[in-house]
Amino acid sequence: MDATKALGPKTLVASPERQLEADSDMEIVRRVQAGDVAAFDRLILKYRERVYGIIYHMTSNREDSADLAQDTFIKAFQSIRRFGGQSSFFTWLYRIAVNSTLSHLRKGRLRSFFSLERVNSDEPVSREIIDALTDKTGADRDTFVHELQEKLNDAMQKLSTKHRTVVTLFEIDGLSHQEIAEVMDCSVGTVRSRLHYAKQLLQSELQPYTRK
Amino acid sequence: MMNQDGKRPVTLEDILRLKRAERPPAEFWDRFDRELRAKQLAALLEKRPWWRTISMPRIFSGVRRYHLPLGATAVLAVTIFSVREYRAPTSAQLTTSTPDYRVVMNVGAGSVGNGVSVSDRSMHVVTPNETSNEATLSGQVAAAAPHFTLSSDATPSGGLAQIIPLVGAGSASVAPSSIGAKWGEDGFAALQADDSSLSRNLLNPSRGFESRVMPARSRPVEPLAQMKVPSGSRRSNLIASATLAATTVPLLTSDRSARGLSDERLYDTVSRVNARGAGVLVKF
Repeated sequence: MDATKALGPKTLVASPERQLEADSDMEIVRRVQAGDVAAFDRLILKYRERVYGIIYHMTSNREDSADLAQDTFIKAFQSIRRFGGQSSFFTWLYRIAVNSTLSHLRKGRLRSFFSLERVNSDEPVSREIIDALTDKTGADRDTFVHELQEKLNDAMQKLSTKHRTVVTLFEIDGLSHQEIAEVMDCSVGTVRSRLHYAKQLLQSELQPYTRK
Repeated sequence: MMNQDGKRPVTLEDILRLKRAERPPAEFWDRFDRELRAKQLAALLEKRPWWRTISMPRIFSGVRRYHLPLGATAVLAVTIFSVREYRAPTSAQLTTSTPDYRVVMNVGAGSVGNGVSVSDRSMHVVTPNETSNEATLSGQVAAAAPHFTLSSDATPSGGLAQIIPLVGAGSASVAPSSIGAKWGEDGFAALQADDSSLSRNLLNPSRGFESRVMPARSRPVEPLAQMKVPSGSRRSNLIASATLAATTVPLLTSDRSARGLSDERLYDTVSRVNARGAGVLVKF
């Protein structure tokens, strides 16, 4: 049987890889909807880091991010029977996460201080960037990285929540404009506009660290 | 591509990519999973509100975001409809060939008709000579009560014609200003439409309708006449306090007896009367 037909309405995803991923998720969702509650654990395992990452980059607080990420999965679990596959599961899950976070940020319930994760500077990509930014080694290097991290999070927090969300989803999580528009329930033009404005502001804040 | 320092350029995107490296350690996920499991169990045990258990048809899923504006619009529409439906008519003018009388009917705390009780009402027939007095009389009650004015230039007909002899007038210009007043108007309309013998009997003056429905008006008493003489009131209080425990005679009687005493005799009497427990000691 054709997988697309079996999954009902075609989901809106950007790339063939995402379409495959969406199909795989939809199979699991169908099982959960049929009563296989344990199948939901696979979805949690698959998406917990990404969901946590989105929320963390929006809040810059690890404790709040953990709470909100757990709440996101609980909400998804409670509402999964109503999920009809109009969008991909991960878009739907991201939408829950983003809306929960925006709602909490609006209410000001979150902690106002930073509680940051440690930057893993051993990763090839981050090591390359840090090497390009500084010649320091050892403890000085760690101090420089920590300072840069605080400056970066500070600049992110200066953005409005919607601009911050767009930057997080595009630059950090790697979603396409179309996917961000689906998650944030706005047009692609709005996403592009927000992204442009947010990057302008970040550029001015982080100018000392950029090197031409 | 390298710059003058022999290093690759660092863009804003590169710096933002550093945030991807901000990741929690592995042990964090153990705690995360434990807490999530506990919350999941709690959510399973928690009773969901009944309205969340209703699965809406897919056709309504698109309008979910419009629930609030739709609800507000519906409430507004119902409010406007209700206000328009129950808004009192401006006036109902009826003409009559006998423009000699006007009837002023003051209804307090209630309305006429449909079995609604009326606790305070009065009806007054105003002749042309009394026109200036009518304004004064109706003004005494109108501040606190709905006001019906049955003016003289109306034609009596049907059941309403049977009310007219009671008040000796020609009829009515009804200007209700509230829902209660509208009910009053409806009551009159019902009476007007109802031609049954029951209403004729009820409205017949010989059966005492007027006296049953409208008790006789007492003459207004001057406010100053209602005030007691200060000395009389003081005497009454003294007698009452002295004989409270001992006597079952109504206070009015004590008051009457006190009026006949002079102040000296009264104080003398009070000092001789001593109430103790259930007994009274009187010194002579």
